[in-house]
Amino acid sequence: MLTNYIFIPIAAAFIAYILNKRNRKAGAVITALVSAYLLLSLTALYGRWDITQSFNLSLMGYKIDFLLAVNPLSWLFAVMTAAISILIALFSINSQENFKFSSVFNLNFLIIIGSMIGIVFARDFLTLFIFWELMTWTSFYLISAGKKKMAGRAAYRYIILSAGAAYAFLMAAIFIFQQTGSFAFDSAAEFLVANSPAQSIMLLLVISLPFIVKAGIFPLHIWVKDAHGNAPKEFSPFLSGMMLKIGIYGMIVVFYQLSFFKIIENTIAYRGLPLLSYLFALLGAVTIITGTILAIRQEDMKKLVAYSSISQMGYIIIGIAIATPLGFSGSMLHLMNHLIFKSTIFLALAAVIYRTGTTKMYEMGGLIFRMPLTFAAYLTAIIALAGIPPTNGFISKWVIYQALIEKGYLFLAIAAFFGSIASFMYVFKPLSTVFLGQLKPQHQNIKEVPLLMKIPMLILILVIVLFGVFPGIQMNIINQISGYLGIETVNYTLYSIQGANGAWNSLLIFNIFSAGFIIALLLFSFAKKSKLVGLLDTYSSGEYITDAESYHYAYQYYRPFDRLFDNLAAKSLTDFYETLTKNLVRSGEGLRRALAAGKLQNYALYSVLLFVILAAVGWII
Amino acid sequence: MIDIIYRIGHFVLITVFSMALGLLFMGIARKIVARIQKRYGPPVYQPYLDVLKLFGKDAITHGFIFDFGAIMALGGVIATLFFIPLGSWQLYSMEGTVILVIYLLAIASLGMAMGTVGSGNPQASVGISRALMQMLGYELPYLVILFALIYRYQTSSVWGLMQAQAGSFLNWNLFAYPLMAAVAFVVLIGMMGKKPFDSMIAPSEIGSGPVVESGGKYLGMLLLQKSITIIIELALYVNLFLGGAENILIFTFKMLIVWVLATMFGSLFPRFRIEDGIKFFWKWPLGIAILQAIYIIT
Amino acid sequence: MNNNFVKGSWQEILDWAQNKSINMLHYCTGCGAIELPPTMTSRYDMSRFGIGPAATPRQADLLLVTGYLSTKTLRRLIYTYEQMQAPKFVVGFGSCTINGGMYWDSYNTIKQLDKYLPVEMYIAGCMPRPEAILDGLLKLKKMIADGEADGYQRYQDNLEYYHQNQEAVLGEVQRTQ
Repeated sequence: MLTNYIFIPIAAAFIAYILNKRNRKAGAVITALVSAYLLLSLTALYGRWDITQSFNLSLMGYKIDFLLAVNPLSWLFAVMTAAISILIALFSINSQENFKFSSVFNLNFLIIIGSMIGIVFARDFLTLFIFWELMTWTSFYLISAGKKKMAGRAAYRYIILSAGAAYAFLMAAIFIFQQTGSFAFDSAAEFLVANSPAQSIMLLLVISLPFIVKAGIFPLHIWVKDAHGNAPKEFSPFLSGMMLKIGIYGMIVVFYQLSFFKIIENTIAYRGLPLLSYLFALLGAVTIITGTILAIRQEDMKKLVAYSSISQMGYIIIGIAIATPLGFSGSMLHLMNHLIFKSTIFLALAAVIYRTGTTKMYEMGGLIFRMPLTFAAYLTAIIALAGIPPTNGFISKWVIYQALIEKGYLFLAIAAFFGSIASFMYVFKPLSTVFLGQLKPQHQNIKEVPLLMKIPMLILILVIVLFGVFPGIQMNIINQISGYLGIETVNYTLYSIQGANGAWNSLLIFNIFSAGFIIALLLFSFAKKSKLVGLLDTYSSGEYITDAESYHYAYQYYRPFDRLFDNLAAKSLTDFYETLTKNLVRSGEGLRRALAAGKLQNYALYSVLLFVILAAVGWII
Repeated sequence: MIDIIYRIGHFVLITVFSMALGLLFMGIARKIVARIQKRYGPPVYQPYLDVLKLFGKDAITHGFIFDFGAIMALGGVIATLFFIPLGSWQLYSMEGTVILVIYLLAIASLGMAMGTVGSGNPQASVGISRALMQMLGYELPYLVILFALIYRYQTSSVWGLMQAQAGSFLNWNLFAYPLMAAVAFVVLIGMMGKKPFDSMIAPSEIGSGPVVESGGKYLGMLLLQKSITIIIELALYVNLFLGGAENILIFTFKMLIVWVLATMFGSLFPRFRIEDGIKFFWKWPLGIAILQAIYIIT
Repeated sequence: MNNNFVKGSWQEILDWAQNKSINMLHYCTGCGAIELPPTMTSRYDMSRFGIGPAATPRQADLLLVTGYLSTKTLRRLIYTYEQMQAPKFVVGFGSCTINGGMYWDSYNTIKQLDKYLPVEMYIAGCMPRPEAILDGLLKLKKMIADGEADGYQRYQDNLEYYHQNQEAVLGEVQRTQ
């Protein structure tokens, strides 16, 4: 029964591929329908946490189990996947008119949906690995389908990091399999707890590698910018909103279900937190700071938002790593909220790209007068991202702050504050340079996007405000997850959350904010009516402006700030990895020259030698 | 019903009071600056006349976002006001937390930023970009201080933090943690955009930055917004470091002292370049704040 | 009638506020600008009369034309004036704005400012000293309070006259209004 959720999208993928060849819109329609079906049937699954399913396979004398099960955590991730897919599919019905790889897009997108549900339902390493690889490879194809020249290169960087980490994961899983005779999480957890802590920790760190890569945690974040920046515009919301989160899902599995926290419980601690957990949290903090500083520097809006995703992932990691009830709840809240507002941002930007065909911010301006709804979606989303009440983004950040202050983690808190305040800067940059300012002459005749692209944005705006006023809806499922993972729950009502040293009442905030707004509105409307003038009739020290383009401040918006970090940003981590690769290639080259000069006889000799060595080893053992 | 009318009355009363007080403070500041410069200065009630005049003037708008920005800016600060205890007047300050206040203030800044950049004037954009950069400079030490205070008193409501200093004046955080109070004072000057940190509104350089296109009622609303912002920031400082007050008169007096001192400091210094301003905030105030916070949490 | 009375009193209140609070945009074209710093700073301090500088025409009530105007700068002056919001006033400063002053025979300066913009009053002198400026501005304040300073109204009523004069010296003029 659980297999339905996985294999229906995968089967539909091929149907979508074939139909899409006939009609450009068919693929996206099928994706939307399948996601809607998934969402509906997943809601039916709610509360039935006892459903499991397993298959056996005998292979070369080994008995291998494939286990699937549903629990609150995986249910939440599956629902999030399905829900966001509906919106993206709806959006892409129209936006893929001119997209060359439209059929491939829908094929891969549906396979990714299926495999992600497979990942969250998997209860053993092998199933997880299979779907993980399926997801990685299909998303590799999707990223390289981007329009840019760089897309292929970005995809390679992504696949090399992901695949490398995944194979390391497989090695660790096989090691555990050899010890326990099973790939299942439960037996692995028992083994790891019983095993020597040092080895268990090593194993778990290796197992968490692919998740760290996928979540874009420093220092393995280098693929995120290029992959997100170059992926097709409809895929970026999914990539940034959902696929980064699947890394977090993996880390929660490692931390709680594979008992990472239990194993390190008694190691050296800092302020009551095991040092390894603290290191993870510090990684999160560094991720916030790097992501933020790099986001501020970008001139390409998709890359800017990609870096902001990196920094927001830092918050989630911090909350999970400090492992307090508030921290965990805050993380899960932020995870959901980040999905919502980041997809909104990416969809709004996709709408802009759809109309203007560029991602460079300084090539646009004043689009608010042409695309007001897109602007509204972007504005709501950035208010949420910057963590300004009364939106959902503030609540999650507030809960994380509460958790940090409760325990007095000063440096984590500084990073969190820094990321939050600096996020005003990077979210305001596209707002100011793309939507506000002077309208470029070549964009005079732009129209708002078609209805089918507006609907997803409208829905997301409503969801942002809804969760901003009623966080209790989210807290309900989060407390179930906490209960499932054995974490204390947090007190909440429909519209308030109890923090460690203060409560949060979002309905009150919303009402008071409305009251303030109404007072200001009354004052505004009682005063004299103002006269509407054009954008070019603006103070220019007495000079006439005829050229809107030169009167738009957009390029290097935060130059003075960037100057502070020029030296730091010049030392790119990507360069470091590239130098490393180059040296590796060079040494490989040397080895090849020494050993394999191209003579067939040599190869024969090597194979004989290898055979002898293997035989000897086998004989000795 | 009566309760609702009472609430609305309270809303309006506090709003009008803060506007009036903020404008009065602005007038006092102009007088003080004039006296420091050996001038006579405008009358203390000058800001009231300015606002009255501005609302009577014609105005231009650059489209709905320009209007919306002005409304959002004023509405944001009015909403913030209700979460701050003013002496014994406190509407919702029990529920409001310090962090909430900081972020509610941000919505006003965002509104103002959006509206003014919506005018299409690049000088407004330059001003806003500077203001945001500077905000990153001063908010960081301020939030570290708040972190330390909340950790120390185990409450994050402004009311609670104020109550925690009750008793003798030696319990005031000004005397308990003088370094922190000093840092917060510097931050306060930065927050209010006073002299060393006023590069975002440099009138002769970027045509007064964010307000470059605002005239008439728009400028009037921004003036009112500014006046309430001053009250919020001063009230926050008084509540956090000077132990709040029993009644509104003493509270006003305390705010006035802080305001006069800030004005005097502000009129002594030349303007920072923007990156030097950030560097300054991150070097001294942030450094001292972190030291103090480490002292408190260990 | 009652309504008119209310309107009239409201207008009087606004006039009163306007006369107490004047933000001036000093259009520093000529040498007269040098007299303004002493007028603003501690020696004479015009701010005690509620007169202060404004950064942009949007915020200003008073356009101070401080000296001669070449035809090139006239174009900018008109643009600036049109960007200001009513009620707005123009004060000519120095003899150059009255009759051309020492530039009376120059080929590229304008001689009489009020042919192009509705001048409220002139402050004569070459250049007028701060005392004269303050005296002039005080008179302007009185005019505003009495409702006599209606230049912006005159400009609207005689728009064609002003536009003709402007176009006679400038040729084509770009307009915002």
